[in-house]
Amino acid sequence: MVRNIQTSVHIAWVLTFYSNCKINNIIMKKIVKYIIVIVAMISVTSCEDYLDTRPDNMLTVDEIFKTKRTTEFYLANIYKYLRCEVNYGNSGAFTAMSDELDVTYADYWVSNFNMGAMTQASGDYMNNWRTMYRGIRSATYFMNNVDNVPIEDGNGMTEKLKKQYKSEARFLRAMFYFYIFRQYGPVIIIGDNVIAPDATIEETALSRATVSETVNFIVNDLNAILQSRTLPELIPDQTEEYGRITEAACRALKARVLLYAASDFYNTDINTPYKTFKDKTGKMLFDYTNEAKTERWQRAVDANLDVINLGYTLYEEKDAISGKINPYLSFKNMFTTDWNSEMIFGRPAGGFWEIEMHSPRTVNAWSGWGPTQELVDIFYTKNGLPIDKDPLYKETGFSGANSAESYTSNNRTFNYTETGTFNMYVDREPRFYATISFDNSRWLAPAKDGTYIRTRYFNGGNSGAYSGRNYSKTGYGIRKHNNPNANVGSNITPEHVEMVFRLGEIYLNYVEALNEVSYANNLPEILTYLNKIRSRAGVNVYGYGVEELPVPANQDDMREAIYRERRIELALEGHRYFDAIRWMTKDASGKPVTHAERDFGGLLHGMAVTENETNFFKRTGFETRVWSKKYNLFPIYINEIYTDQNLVQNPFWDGSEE
Amino acid sequence: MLCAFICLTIPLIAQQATSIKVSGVVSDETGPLPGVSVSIKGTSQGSATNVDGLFILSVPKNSTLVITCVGYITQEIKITNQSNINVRLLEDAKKLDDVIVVGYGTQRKISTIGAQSSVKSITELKQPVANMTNSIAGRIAGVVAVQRSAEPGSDNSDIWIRGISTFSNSTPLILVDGVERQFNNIDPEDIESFSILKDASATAVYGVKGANGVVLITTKQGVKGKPKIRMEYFKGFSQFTSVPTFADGVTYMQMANEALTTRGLAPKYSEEAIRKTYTQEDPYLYPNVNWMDVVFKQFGQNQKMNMSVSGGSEFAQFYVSFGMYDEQGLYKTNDLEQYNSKISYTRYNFATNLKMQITKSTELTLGVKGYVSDKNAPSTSASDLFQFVMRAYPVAYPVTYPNGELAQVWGGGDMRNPYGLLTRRGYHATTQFQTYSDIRLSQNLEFITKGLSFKTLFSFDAYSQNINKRENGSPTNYLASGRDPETGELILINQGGVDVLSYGVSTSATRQYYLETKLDYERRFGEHRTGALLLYNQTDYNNNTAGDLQSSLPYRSLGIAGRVTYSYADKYMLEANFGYNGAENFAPGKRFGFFPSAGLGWAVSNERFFKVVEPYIQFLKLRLSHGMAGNSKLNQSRRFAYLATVNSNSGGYTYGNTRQRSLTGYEIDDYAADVTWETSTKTNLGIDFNLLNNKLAIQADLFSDRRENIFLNRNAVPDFVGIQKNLLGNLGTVDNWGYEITADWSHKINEVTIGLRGNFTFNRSTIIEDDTPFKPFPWMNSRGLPVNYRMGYISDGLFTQEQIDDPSIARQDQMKIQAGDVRFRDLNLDGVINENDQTRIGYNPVPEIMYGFGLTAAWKGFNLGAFFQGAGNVEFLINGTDFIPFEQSGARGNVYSNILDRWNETNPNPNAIWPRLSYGTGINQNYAKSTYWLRDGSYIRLKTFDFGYNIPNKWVKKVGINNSRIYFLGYNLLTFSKFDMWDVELGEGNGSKYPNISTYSLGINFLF
Repeated sequence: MVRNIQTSVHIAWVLTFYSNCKINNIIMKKIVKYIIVIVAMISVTSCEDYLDTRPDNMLTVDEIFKTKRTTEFYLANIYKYLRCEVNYGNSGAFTAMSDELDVTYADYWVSNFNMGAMTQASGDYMNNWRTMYRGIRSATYFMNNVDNVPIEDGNGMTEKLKKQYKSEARFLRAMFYFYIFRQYGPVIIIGDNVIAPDATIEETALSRATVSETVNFIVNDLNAILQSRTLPELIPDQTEEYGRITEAACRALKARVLLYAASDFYNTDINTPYKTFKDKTGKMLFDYTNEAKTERWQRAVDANLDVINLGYTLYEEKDAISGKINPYLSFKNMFTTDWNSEMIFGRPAGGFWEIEMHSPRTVNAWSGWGPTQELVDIFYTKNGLPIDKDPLYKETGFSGANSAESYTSNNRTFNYTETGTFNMYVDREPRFYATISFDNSRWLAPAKDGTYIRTRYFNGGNSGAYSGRNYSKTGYGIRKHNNPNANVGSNITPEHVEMVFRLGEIYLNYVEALNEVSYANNLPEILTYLNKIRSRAGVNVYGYGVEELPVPANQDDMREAIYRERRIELALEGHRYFDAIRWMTKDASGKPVTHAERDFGGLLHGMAVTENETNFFKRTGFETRVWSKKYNLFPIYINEIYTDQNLVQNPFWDGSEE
Repeated sequence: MLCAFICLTIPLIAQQATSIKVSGVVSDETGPLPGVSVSIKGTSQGSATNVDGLFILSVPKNSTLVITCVGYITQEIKITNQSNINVRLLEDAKKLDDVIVVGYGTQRKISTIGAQSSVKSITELKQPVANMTNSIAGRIAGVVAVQRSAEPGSDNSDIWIRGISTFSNSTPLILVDGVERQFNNIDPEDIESFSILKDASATAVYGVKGANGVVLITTKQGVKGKPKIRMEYFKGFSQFTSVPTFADGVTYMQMANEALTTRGLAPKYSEEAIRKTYTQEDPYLYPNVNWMDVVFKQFGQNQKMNMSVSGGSEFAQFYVSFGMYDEQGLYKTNDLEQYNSKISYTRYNFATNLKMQITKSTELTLGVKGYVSDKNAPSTSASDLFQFVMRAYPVAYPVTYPNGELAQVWGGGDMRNPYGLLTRRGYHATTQFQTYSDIRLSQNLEFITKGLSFKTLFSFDAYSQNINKRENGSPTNYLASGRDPETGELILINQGGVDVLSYGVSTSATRQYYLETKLDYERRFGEHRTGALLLYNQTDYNNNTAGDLQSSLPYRSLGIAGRVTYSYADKYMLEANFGYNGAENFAPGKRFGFFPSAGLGWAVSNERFFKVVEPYIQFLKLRLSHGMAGNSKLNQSRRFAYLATVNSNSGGYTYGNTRQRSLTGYEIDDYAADVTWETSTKTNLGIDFNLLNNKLAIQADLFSDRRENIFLNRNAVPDFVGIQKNLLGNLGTVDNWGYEITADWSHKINEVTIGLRGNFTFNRSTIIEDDTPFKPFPWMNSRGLPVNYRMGYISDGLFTQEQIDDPSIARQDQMKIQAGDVRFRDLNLDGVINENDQTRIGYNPVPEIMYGFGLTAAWKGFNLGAFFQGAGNVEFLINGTDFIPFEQSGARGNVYSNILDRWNETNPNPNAIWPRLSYGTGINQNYAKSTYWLRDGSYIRLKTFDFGYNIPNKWVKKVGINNSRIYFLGYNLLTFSKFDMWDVELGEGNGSKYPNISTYSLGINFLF
């Protein structure tokens, strides 16, 4: 049509031209000629051509899987979804939602969460549901397309590599499902095909799987990888490829998943309120019961033993002079030493910048993360005893001398405590000193001018309350994960590899499962591995010797000991939130509750940070948190429920009685 | 036009002759009129005015002069003794051969069917503001305009025609001299006409660009005659209309303590601290700062100058104009700094239109217009500055310490010293350069057939912007930790910062080519008139400094348009239009759309039978149009929706033993979507009538607009599908309807001429489909609500203690609700307040009603004008960061001075502005979106007020001046609104924007 019109315009001009010849106007002729040229120029361009400005070198979806390089870029994008658990204000906020930590800033969503502001309509605070399903889609898409990559001479792509990459994607997908499972409960299993972007609302009306289906789906995927033998046990090219998924990572994930699956929270004979959690067809979504309970724990035992048998060892550092293991350095530097012997799988993409930026204010940092008094109190004394069991433990007065124990870091020797330290902090176990920064302790990294400063957390102290907002509301700071080589004031915040799976966790998984299978039968094995953890930490072991602490006398006592050991050893590593949900106990009226219900709500404590030095040293509540039964599982964002008619909300979030 | 005409008669000493020589100037309100016929009644004697509008005639005493001009109301003047008569002609509302601007051409006003409105007089646009978008609110029926900031250089109003009827781009098409251009920075002095096109009959020719309405602006052309020089100058000063006011230090501290204690917490400020803040005995440790006063001046100023020359011979006419606008904003400056961080804006406009008659039938026109502007501003943006003024509470820290060092609290990212941001962070110097050039050729083709003509237009526009940035991230600052116990000196802790300014530059540039050729046909056969138009055009717009490949590609469109008109005896009119065009952003095969429209008109008053009612109604015309237009703008950063995209920077991963191998991440970003343009089906019913002997003219239009195939990202897609961006689709449907009325009245009593006029615009949109999932309760659904609806709770006031104690009264789960907290209505009656109780609350922040009305009066050389503009059916929420008192647990944020009007236990005022105070958020939902925070945003403003005096010519004639006038012009002088916390037009939020300004100016103009 446009062309026709152009032609007619053209004809009109030709007519004009002839008419003008007749009137013989010279100027006119000239002008008309020019115009004819212009009009002709328009006419020769086709309309569609003129509008076809599409980008000529745009990367298209099909081109991703044409080269090895771009295929690896796509795979790197899937790895991206691995979560950072040490950025406490953001992706790792689970720690700040537990009783381990406070995030100072009232405008962080985690503070609103702790005040009870989350509803099914307030949006998914962490966006994990959406984010992880994006990772799942990308992983599945990758698995379905990686075979299209041509194998050509010189491009480095091989069938073996394709299989390896496919298994990496499958592992990541399993990990992402696990992330959803631990936070939201039973998942929607998408399967081995991605959903079309233009799928109708009927096509996306999927239902949730049960707990057992979810666990089996994840474990089956991991088993399939292990059976295929497509992943290396160790990365062959450590220079370039360290950080890729190994068989060990698969086994470690499987070990953790099976530990969770065996836990009381998913067992509706113990967690009876969740018996009524059904989908719209009446299917029970929490479908584990006491039946096969021991078998589930045994599977967890086996899976964890599988990892132990791979030959990883706990990280240890010895004093240069004495040659003895230094427990502080062994524990502290485990987290800042790349790829050490304890690391089964690490996330090299970093995220520690944030932790170092929240060093005490006195080294020009923000001081925004505050471990709670509840966490401080869980650490043993130097005799390996809980504070309420050790007669030597005091909460009054100040130390008259430096501690005998010390360590050397950055060519400087530090005592655990120095003269004038509040006695609550004196003579605690080494892991305490590696984890917590308390008042009057010397900060592990230098200030801008190179000095090592004693951190003061009281009002007016160098890192305490002032008219701004960057100070810890608990009177404590975090040492764990912090790099002693950092110098925040000079913008030096060295990255290191984040521990995703470490042998220490596997030992603790293992002993927890062993104890549940049978205290009596497994006691020697339990003691062996529990003591390995304690020995490395420089804490008295359990045993029958003179110097040793008495062995917990029965399954319940042993469980308490294992739980406590786990809280101390894995503090601030992102475990506590989920452990406290999967561990169950009974409330005063005998009703089953999770540890989270027992511990996470109510008044949490720190020191009296609004007081000056004289009045600072007393347990003071800093925040009353809200936690109830429904918080055990995050709500699924309400729009998801509106959109998918077959999707059921997690218990109690829709306003039903808890 | 009815507003400001002045009749000047200067009585002279009577002459005794029977025939007297009479001379005078005939003018309309734009200036002298050449070629006006001046004749003696009852004779054939007469004369015509020359290029200066001057006539000289010998007339017998007691005869009557008849002054006639096409398009003007004929005037008769009885001659007794006067020898000098100055006549100002009034435009004839009924003028039959008057033409008005329509899409791609002009039409006779009588036969126009489309809904088209114009600014009555261009003088109305001459207001003491830099940006012309700020001049049109309330001036034209059908325009919805709101100004959300008056920051110099960034103060344009948002403009919609007939409101918002789509989820995608809703901005109108703006054409200046027929080419898609911006009009923000055009000098109103250079404007000849300003019109908007609203219905399908008027906009269908613009095809995929026409759905949101069209703004048509033409610039002045030269007029035959000896050069006429016009000069205009005004100077004014400006002040903020209204700014948020904040509590003083003592009030702040008392309120903070109340917020804590009323929630069972310990007070923060000791009595001693409050006392010291009150006495100001140590202002460095116990500061009490009014940051508003520290940062902002009382007055700014602006001035404007324009000079234009127009004239020409039969063969060539020219119009040349030069203008300058200069504005100094209201920031304070620090004289100590080496550099200039004041806020100022200077703009130089130029315009040249040259028309040449090359042959008898060929005309060539060249237009070159544009501007150069310089803006200087602190490197902190106005909105940031206002935000930090709101964040820095009065007792946080002083402005500076005695040694001149800047004070600030560590962790300054959140509470930075506003004075430091203003004076010590450097500046941005922005230069903009715009040229609009066009060349047109018009060829009369009468030799083919009478009434046929050909026109072609080629334009090339270029724009560039350059920002030189001299800035630092944060100037060095200190905080006093106390006083040395021995010396009493302040202990200042250096908290870092950089004072050295870095240099950076950012540039942007665009260019546009436009080509249009058309054939026009217009002819009269007795009582029959026919017209036709056939047009081809193409546009090529390019962003020369695009950051990525996609946006660097040219934006192109091309198409044809046509129109056929027919009328019989100026009684019956018929019109058909079409546009057929396409844009580059859709898939081949989906690019072109065809948009037809048709209209009918009936001038009832030209019927014979109408004679009966003519004494009551002098003119009546009915108009009906129906048709389509399109919208191809996606309103997304995305182009080429038909292509799937890969995000090649989606966040990758790092491998390697020293974490050295970082791979970028590739991810499928957008899936390919088979989308095409959005369509608008418009129907318009119009009526024009004149009453009271043509003194009152009324135009009214009733319209409906149904938008279909609106671009949306699909909403009903669950997140577990896992795609990054939901697929685009032509999914939405919206209905919009409304009406507009314009009325003009003028009357002359003796020597006083009074004019009244007004217009009223109403529109309301309704979402028919927006692809949202269905919600469990009907009040939660968006279908049936207007576009940009707002959801929230309905507030039932504040809780009383009785209500708190009554467990049957619904409240939020988990929240520690106390008396004095906001109580929400339990819509689904389930006993708990949650998302199911949210519904649409309030009118939208874009008004449904816009109106304007004005009064003009003239007596002898004096004239007076007042124009009011208003908005109705508009509500906004006051909320946002730093709005809530002590929001961040007191870590930042000022409180408003009306904080004393709050609920507390001693004075449980149920109508308090502020509910029971709290320290920090999360413990209640008092500040959740609810009707409690909804404010009526309707207002009436005295937008302009002017008072002028025409200096008698005899005083100034000697220096060659023909006409001169001095005037006072006030802008935004008064505002009547229920809302007083900040300028009501800024709307939603916390008021932290550069407020609107009032301007008082004095001006003078000359005509040589």
